[in-house]
Amino acid sequence: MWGITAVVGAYLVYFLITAPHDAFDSIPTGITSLTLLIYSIFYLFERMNDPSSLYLFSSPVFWIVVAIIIYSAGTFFPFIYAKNNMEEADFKKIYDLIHDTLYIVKNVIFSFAIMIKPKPERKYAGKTISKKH
Amino acid sequence: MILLQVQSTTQPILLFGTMGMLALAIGLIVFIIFHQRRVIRYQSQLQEMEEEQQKILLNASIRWQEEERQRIAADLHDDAGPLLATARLYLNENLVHQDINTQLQSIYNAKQIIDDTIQLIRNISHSLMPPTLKNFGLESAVNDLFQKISGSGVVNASSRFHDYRQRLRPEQELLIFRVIQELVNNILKHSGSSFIHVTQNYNEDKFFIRLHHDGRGITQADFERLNKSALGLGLKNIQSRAKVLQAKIEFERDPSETYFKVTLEVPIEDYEMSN
Repeated sequence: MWGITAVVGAYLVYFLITAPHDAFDSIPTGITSLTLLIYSIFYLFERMNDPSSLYLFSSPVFWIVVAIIIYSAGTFFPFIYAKNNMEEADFKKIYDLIHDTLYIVKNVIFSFAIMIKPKPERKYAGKTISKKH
Repeated sequence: MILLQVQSTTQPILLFGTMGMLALAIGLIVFIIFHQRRVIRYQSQLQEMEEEQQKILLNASIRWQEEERQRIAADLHDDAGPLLATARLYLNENLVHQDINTQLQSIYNAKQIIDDTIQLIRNISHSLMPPTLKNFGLESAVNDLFQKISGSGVVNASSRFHDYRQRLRPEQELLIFRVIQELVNNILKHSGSSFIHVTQNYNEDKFFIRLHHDGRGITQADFERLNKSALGLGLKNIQSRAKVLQAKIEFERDPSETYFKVTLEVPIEDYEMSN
């Protein structure tokens, strides 16, 4: 996991320095989306296999990860195609529709995550269910 | 023309790709939510089962206490009561009006009856807390118990403590002794065995008591089944005592099917050993 972070981080820094600044950077944005997706899925599976995390839905981090997954998955294709097609009016329309909708959805879920109250510690079947998120 | 073609291929890919990715993402989230719900339901069921088991053990313990109280009450009422009443009859007021020989005879009879009563009360007291266990420890108490059983001539009972240099805490010793007593009682009542053999070992912070007999016995599955049913009060007491000791109890039949074995495994690291 740290290896992926290092490689992606190095690539993004390299791209930031070398890429021209007059167009949409599809490749680094796509890679960022994919990396976020991989991390989020990894986090969810980790939590699923953790016997102490029963109340996953009451955890703000869970909802933040859900928002990231939906936004990253939904905007992956628009980001990939943006560099070569942003000039097209029809593409721009669809791009804006998808991106803006998912952006709103992401922010709504973030707001929900901020407002959510974590459940207090409970004991289940001999195991302590912690508030750890 | 080329631009039109590009546009016409890009837009469906964009739309279907986005929808596909969203469907995958939402599917994953829904799967995780359903999985978590299933885990929560499973944990609730597990907790309910554990509570039910606790209730059964508590009921068994209360019933056992009540039966024990009734037994003590019956012993005192039926045996000690009449004996003391008889002694009182011998020592009534009319004794002073009688001749010296009759007086002496009455006093002797009353003395005998009071001695019997003392013995009876001592027996009751010993059945509640064996003095050998209190004064000399588990090994002596178990040896004493097995000598008494062997003395009856019906069953060949023997015990061997391999590693009992230090005594356990008194409450631990009492609980282990009660478990052995209950097991032996069950064997004598139900198994029809010709021998009972108890061994003790100490290994890796664990204190082992192993009991073998060659009669009709039960396996772990039978033990668990009887523990969940209304039957088997003695077994429930064994289970609740093992729970207090944080011990594991295992009922098994040896591979050659010639004898049954019960193993009590008591963890010692949590308990202080006392001399």
